[in-house]
Amino acid sequence: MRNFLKPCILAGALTLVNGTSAFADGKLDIIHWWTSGGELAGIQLLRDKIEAQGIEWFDAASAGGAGTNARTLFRTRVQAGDPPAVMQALGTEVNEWAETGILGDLTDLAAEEGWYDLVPKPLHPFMNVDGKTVAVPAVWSQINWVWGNKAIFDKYDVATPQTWDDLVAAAKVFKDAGITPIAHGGQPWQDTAIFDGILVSFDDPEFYRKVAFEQDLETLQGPMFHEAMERLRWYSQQLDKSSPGREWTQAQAMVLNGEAAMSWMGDWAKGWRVTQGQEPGVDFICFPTPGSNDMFVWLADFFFFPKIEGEANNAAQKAFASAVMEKNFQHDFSLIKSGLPVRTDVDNAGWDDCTRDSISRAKRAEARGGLVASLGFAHSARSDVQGVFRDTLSDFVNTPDMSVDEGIEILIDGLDSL
Amino acid sequence: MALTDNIPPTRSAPVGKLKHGTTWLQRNIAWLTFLPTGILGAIFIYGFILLTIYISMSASKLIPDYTFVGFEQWERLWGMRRWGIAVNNLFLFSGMFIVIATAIGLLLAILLDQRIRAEGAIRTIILYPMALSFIVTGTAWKWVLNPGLGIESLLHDWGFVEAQFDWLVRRDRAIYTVVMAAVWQSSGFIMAIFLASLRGIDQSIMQSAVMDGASSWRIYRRIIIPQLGPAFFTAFVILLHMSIKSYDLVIALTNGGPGTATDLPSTFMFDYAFDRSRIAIGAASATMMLFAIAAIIVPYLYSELRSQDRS
Repeated sequence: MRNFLKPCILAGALTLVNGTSAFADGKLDIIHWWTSGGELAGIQLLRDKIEAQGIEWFDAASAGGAGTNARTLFRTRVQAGDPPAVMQALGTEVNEWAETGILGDLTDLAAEEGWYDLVPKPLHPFMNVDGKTVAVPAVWSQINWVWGNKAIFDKYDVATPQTWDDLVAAAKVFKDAGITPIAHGGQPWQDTAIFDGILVSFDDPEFYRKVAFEQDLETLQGPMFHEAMERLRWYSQQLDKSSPGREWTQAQAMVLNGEAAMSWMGDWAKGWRVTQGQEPGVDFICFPTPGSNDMFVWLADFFFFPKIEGEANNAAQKAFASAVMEKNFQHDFSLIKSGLPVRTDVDNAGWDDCTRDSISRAKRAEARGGLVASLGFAHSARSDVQGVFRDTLSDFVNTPDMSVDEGIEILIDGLDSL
Repeated sequence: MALTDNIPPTRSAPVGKLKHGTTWLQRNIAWLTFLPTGILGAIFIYGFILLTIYISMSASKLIPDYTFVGFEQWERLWGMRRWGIAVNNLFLFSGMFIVIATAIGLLLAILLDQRIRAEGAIRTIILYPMALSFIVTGTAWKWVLNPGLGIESLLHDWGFVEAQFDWLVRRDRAIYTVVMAAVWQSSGFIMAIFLASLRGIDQSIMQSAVMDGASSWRIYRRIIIPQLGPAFFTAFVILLHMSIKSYDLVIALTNGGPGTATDLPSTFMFDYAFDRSRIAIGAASATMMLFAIAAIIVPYLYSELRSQDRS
């Protein structure tokens, strides 16, 4: 028996030694919801980098519900006093969690690596809360995109719409030809996302700020917002009947199959198209929502870092943050995941025309205050405010006989009741 | 130990033979067996109910915050348009669901009670939807009712180009599609309840009614259905609690949409507590649901207990 046990213990001890030396740099426990396609490939890239540094990667991916399941998991673990090392977040979620005081501090690392000189300014308020660096952006995306089926646009000789009137005229051509002008996924988040595009179609940064950031009563009752709701009503009339409840990928597929002429969606829709073997400029065209050529509505995925025990684990958090911000990773990740790198100094090799266009738009927009955070994805306002917009806009889109005035009234009442 | 003192001696206790030689364990086995469940239930059901009610009166947003704010969140909840829609939908949905499922269940039971051939097979087929989860029912009906995929598109393909069946995507009709799917799933079960009850009715009453020349419609209306009272009550309670807590069916079928058209208190609660970082509002809505159920179940329990006492 002893003879048998000895090698076993030895082997066990060896594995233990090996194990600890291989993972001497702590454990990285991460919750995220990037579980498919380009997103999964992107996270894998990160994982390889982290594991190459001898850090153990403990993946608690939770798919579904656009992050709802992951958020519920995170909340539960925070309540249980066992937060993960890294959590994925969108926009103001970072700020909400930072205010609860559970997040760690990466200020030194940020200063050391000069993040605030590299990252576009509008992203700073989500990284830095009350003078403390709490999160890093992973990738950001332009929302005010329209994707068109090139063959259909060519067939009916429709030029890329530059203004809202162009768009209305183009849609009429398609409708007369029996093609659904706009493919839409009628889920509340999508109804709200396309409204971001409508808000910037007025090419007025001040108007956007008053609505999305301040929910200024006078602006909401003013003529421009009234017109915005009229545009949303028009939009709702360009859709096919079965749109309510449809997934966004199904809506994109309708454009791809030629059932519909165009669709509005953030730049992840391009990533999806590329995975379907489509090529920008050949199979599809991309243009900003008409009128918003110098406006850029964005959303960004962040990772934030709860306070956790153990020096090695804290070092792992820092290694992760560094890896996300690293120049090459930013380049590769933006290509795989489809989005824009969060550093301004990233080499543009390998990018397609849509991405180049997007980057130059971001620069033009930033110069005039038109680089604005998304309302639809709760970046310009907290999730409860965004929720009121979401409920109201979605009801408005789905109720053909609801008047614009009624919609605005419901919106204002809803904001009041918060 | 106070608990044991209060427990009256068991009925067999006076029989000296049994009392003799019983150990402490044997005497107390009943409540000892109950104890683990009792403790767990006290904490995880009643304790958490109280905690939820407290949270609904707190300032909680993203995570629980135990600052007491009184009825502020309740007031806010009842001022919300979306909560109004959800409560309204619950009444609409429960009302129609209970009435229609009971009616169809009863009808099917009466038809099956006619001693027809292959009754077992038919009964199984009708009962079968109950074996599915609401998620499956919801998804299947979503496809069937989708105007671009299901019935409407089928009718179009058959040449009825004017045919319209687009309730699923119409804001003013979508709630009826939820009722439809729920009725489809549950009426078989209600049928089983009624059928069991019908089989329990004394055949001699029916035979004598037939001898007296009563029509079968009359026999059912005057003699049989009035005897089904307990079955009606069981069906009602089962359907009622199913409708108040129904969540998965709506999530799968419409996800509360179009817009907020098919929101129910349960979907509202989940959305506010977990998606919008308003745990207090979520807890307040859960408390309202609890009160709604309690308002119906407590009188029921009371009457049950009373009837037990009488017997």
